[in-house]
Amino acid sequence: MTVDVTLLESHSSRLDDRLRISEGFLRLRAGGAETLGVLALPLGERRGPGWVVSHSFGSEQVDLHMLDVAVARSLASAGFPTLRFHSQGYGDSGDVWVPASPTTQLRDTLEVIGQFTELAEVEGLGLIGARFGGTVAALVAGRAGASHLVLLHPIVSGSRYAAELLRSRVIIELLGEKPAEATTVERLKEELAARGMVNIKGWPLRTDAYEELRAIDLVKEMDPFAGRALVVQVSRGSSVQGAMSRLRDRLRAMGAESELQVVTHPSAPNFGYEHFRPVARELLGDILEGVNQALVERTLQWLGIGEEAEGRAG
Amino acid sequence: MKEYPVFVPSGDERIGAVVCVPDAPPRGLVLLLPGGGGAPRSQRFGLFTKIARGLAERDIASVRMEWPGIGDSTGRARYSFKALPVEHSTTVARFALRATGARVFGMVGNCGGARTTLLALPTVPEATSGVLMMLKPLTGTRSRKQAVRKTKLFVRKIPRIGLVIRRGYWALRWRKANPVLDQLRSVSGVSDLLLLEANTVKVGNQLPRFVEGLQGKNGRHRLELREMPGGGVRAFQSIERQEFAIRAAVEWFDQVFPPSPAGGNGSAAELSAAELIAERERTRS
Repeated sequence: MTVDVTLLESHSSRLDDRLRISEGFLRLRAGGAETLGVLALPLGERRGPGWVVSHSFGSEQVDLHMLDVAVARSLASAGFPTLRFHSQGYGDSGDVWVPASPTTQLRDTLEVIGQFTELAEVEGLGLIGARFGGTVAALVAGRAGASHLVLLHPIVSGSRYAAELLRSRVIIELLGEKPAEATTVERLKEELAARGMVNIKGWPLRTDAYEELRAIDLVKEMDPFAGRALVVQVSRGSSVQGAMSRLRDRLRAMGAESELQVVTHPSAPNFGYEHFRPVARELLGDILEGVNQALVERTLQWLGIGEEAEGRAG
Repeated sequence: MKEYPVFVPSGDERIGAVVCVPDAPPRGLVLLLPGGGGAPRSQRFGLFTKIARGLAERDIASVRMEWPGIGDSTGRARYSFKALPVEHSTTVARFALRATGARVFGMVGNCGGARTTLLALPTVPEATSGVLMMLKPLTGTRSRKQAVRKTKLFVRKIPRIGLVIRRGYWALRWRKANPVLDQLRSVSGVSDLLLLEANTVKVGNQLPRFVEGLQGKNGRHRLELREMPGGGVRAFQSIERQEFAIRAAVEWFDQVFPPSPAGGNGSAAELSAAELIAERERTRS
């Protein structure tokens, strides 16, 4: 019995004639271990910047991964080499048992960016991410020398986000089998202090990660960035949220060419949460498909691709 | 251990998968298939990655795959118990069996993946065993009707009595589980099966009773149901449950697959594999 390595390696990439891209799996280094990346390349001429997609935190990494994939494929389809990857502690990363934290995600993202330049073979670096992935992108942009930044409803206030994570556990219990016994945010905080860890819908949120999250204030902590930046708010209504406008203003104050757009959609509250719901009799579908499509289109339009890219996302 | 990420051609789609190969000749191959909530091949919390690596430590190869439209797979993500990815699973299984040279096959499926396992196992001649996580024979797609959803929420909020009403409701609907139970009955006669269930109102006592009734009537095949910790918590939102599931799946295949060959030339394992498959063929005929 021998393993057919040739067969396996010959299937590590694919060509997509419809999108005019190739996708190939890569082994990357991050945080002292291997991790998995997927490089999407245009079949035609490449153009800069090359993009790195940074994923979100905790369970959100899974709930937003379909957007990350759609973004990467669409950018590549428009000519931009794009890389997505797993930070340690996620998915297929080499050290999946390690507890992930904001620090480990920033470390891994910077390390992967360091390997991307050679792979992309284009001028310029763009960083893109949704929710906490956007926060990671913004926090490393200055240090990584990025020229472009796209933040899809980024987490601006880490303390609000940390509180939201705790609340999400309470809500799940209120909707569960024993709502009368549902925990409270206060009890979860006590548990964090006593046990050093609290379960957020199956994700072990440790005290160090919680405290690191709470300390993040994107408006105050971003390193100088003077490239082009797009901030996209995802919401039900069209009113601009204070945090998003503060972030846009901060980027402008740093010398960035910054723009804020709002994507409205009835499913916006599910952005970053579970998003498969009944869409027909005995059929579950992705209720965020429309949001993802809109985010991809806005990004491409902002990059000047616009009509060229219509109908390609997917 | 080495992992090979691959795109497996299946019909018009390319299925994203990772083949995990142990350092020693593999004792068998296990396919891991998530359920229908948008989880990629690693499942939520890296659960399937952890199982795959645990299996590799016991010299068992694995392939963890995605549904079309999820993760790196192409296609549109749509979930229906009436359109399970049986063909995609068997295509990925055949690819991984060929790539790893394994002679014995098993499958782990969660929720919709468990139902797919029941349909896919009989189509793979090398299959000898399966692990069904949260098969929940009664589960269907939730109602879209606002009135139904509001009533459910209202009943759920009634302390104690709400739970009794819900248990009673699902017990009365148990006959609706028949199609899945028929498949379970049929597959348990040709494969070893381990069911990992949570103690939810939809499962109640009915499934354990049904499995108990099957035991002893399904030839020499192992059939077990183990209740996972975490009570009525959804899916794998209990960390204790995740750890239990990882341990149970790895230990199960370690027990039911042929042992590693002494001396490492593979012939002993191949002999055991041939015996297992022959036994399965006998029980089929």
